[in-house]
Amino acid sequence: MSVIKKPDLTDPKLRAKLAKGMGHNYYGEPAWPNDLLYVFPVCILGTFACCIGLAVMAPTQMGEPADPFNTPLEILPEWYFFPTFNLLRVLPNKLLGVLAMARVPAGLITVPFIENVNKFQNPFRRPIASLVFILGFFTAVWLGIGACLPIDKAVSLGFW
Amino acid sequence: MVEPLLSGIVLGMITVSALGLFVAAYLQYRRGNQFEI
Repeated sequence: MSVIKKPDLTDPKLRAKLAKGMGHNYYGEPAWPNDLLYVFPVCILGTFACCIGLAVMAPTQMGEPADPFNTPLEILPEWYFFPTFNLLRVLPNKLLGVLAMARVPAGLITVPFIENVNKFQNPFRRPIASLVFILGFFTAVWLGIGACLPIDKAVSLGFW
Repeated sequence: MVEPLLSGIVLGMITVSALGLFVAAYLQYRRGNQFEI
């Protein structure tokens, strides 16, 4: 890695930004060769290896043919909908369920407006934002796992 | 239908990504400002 380029610290524009505590990969570190040569190929080859490996070792099976007159006993959406699906399933009131789902994008919309309350970017320097992230993340994974279990274990995961 | 292989890929990627984010962030937090500007 002796070829890695360091940021040009003689550049007055960069020094001014760094003096304000604004050091950042976007304008501090040169893209070539640091990212383009050393990081991109790892991602590209890694993605190729995963796709080809899975295609060879675990090809997609043919599923059951669809029958519009026969709803399967167990229905599940795609995996990325598991948490919201579980919310809809668990909440007794459908309107409440839809509102709980709408809360996710509504919360995300507020991010650009309250993001700069703290000027730092590192998660360890923004404890409240990090705490919100970790809580939301944990809840989403928890609800997502609950979606795969029977309805009586959907919230407790069988722990209580 | 729960597919075990897909669940493993998803849960594994999620945990490794989140862990990687915090490990990298902690290293940068600990490193501090080395530019002395």
